[in-house]
This record gives sequence, structure tokens and C-alpha cells, in this order.
Amino acid sequence: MLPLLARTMALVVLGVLLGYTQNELRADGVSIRTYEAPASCGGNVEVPHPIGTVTPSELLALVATEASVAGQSRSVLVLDGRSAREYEQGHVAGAIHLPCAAGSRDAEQVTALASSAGRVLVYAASETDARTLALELAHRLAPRVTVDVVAEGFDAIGRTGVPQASGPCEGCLSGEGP
Amino acid sequence: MTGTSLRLVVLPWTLRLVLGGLFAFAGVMKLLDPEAFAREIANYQLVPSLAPHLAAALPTTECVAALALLLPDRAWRRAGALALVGLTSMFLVAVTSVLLRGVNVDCGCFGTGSGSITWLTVVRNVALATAAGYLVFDDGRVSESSGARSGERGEADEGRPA
Repeated sequence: MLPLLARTMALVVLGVLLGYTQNELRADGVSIRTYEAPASCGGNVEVPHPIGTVTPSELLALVATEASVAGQSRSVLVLDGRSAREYEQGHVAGAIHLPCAAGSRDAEQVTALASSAGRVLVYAASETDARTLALELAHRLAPRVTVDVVAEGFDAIGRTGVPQASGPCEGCLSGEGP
Repeated sequence: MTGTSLRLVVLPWTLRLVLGGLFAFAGVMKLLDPEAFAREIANYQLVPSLAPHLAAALPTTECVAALALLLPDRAWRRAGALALVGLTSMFLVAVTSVLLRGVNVDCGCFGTGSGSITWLTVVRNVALATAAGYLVFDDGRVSESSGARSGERGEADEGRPA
């Protein structure tokens, strides 16, 4: 048993040494000393660009404007940061579902959509949740794209008369999606 | 070919080729874009600070273990299989943790664009760990009964210089 473990350790050590060596030698290797992990929703994200806030009434006006240019490319992307079940029960019409737990692939798809829109509005169950998600997005998108959060949570948004839809977000994003 | 030789010769070699090919392929795919692989590891939100180290070391370790499965010496093949058991166990813990925490993240199992993690990913890792485990404990036992004929080293050779 001992020789088996020793051989296994030898293979692992060889693999690790080869890994570090090739990483040092290649130009596109990972910079181990200066590596910065991408921001996550749970972390403290420092964003050099401030996150703006819009009121539910302003969201209502924006959604109405966007609806009037249906068929053309939209200038505002509305994101719903709540759970899939909450999204399915009711959401701002036209909003795309992007929960805080979304992975890199979903976030990259949103990044592509947001880059063409130019502005992203994020709402969630509360403004705090929306801000957490907005910080993550701003880290990826700013300064190319303006990221704002909607003050107050979805319940307050609903009371302003913002058009709503229900059901799953078919074709919105891959992964867990609603 | 008898059922015994099928189990003692064909099955281990098939598993070695499949596992060796799969992990060598996975290692090479990860080596193509180390920055992206580091990002995928960090997205697991387990130990993001280790992401660059794992991105540098994991792909080559996978390749070394995969190649060891194809060596003529049985002792080194078993060591390669045991290394793969360790790697797949580590992957299993990581993907299960991601699923239980509800984090929707790309697997990164074969480099970028490997698809999201699902319970199927867990099942696949269990299958790979089981196959590698089989090779640790059952690989080449044919040599014990007909070692001279097969030309492979038996358990008795374990520990001797290769």
C-alpha cells in the first residue's frame, strides 16, 4: 500500500510541477501572484462607478417608452434578480431573469445583451438584493453600460402599475433559468 | 474469449483507454485557456484564492495521471488510477457543493463551454471515480494467475524497482 501511495504522490507532484512550469513559461498563463478572483454576489465588490437609483414611477415611464419602440433594439435592459419561482409568478413585462446565483455563462449572456442596450435596470425582492446584483454587473459592465437599481422591491414596483407578465422566461437565458 | 479473460484483460484495458483518453482530453482543453479555467474555478465560490494555483496545476496533473494509466508497469498504472480517484473525488465534492448551494455555474470540466453543472455531472463523476477505483483494486490481476504469459507485473512485484 505504501509504494502505491508513494507512486501516486510522485505522479501528483510531477503534474503540479509541470503545471507551474508551463504556466510560468507561457505568455498567456495565469498570473498567480496578482490574480484577482471575479466578483461574486456574496462578496464585497468595489466598483469605481456608482450605482444609480430609479424610483418605481421612473421605471414605469421607462417601460412605457421601451414598449413604444417594440421591434427596434431596446436601450434599457430590465433584469429580475429574484428566484425563478418568484419570476414565474409575476415580473415586469420584458424583464430578463438573472438570479444572484447565476453563473458565469448567464452573466456573460447578460453582458452581451446589456452592451447593446447601454443601460441596465435591476430590481429584486428588495433594493438591497437588487444592489448586490447590480454591483456584480457593474463590475463587469461599467463604464460601457450604466447600471441602476430600482428603489424598493418588486411589491412596490407592482403597486405603481408597471406592466407585468407571468410564466417562465423561455429562451431568456440558459442554465437554471426560470 | 472466456468470461474470466474478458474481466481480467478486456475490461481493465477498455477502462484505461477510456479514462486515460478522457482525462488527457480534459487536461489539454483546460490548458488551452488557463485564464478562463481560473475564472471557472473561482465561480464555484469555494476557495477563489486557490483558483490560479488550481488552474496552473490541475490540467497537467490530469494529463500525467491519464498517461500513467497507459504505462506498461502495473504499479504505476495503479498509482495513476489512484490519482484519478483523488481528482474525481475532489471534483465530486465541488460540483455537489455547487448544486446544493444553488449556484448556477459552468462546469469547466473540459475547459470553457462545458455546460452547466447538473446532477448528471455528479453521476458522471461518480462513474469515473468508480472506474478509476476498479483499476486501483482490480487492474491486472490476470498477472497473478498468468503473469509470465501476459508479461505484466503482478502484486508480488509491487515495491520492486520498475
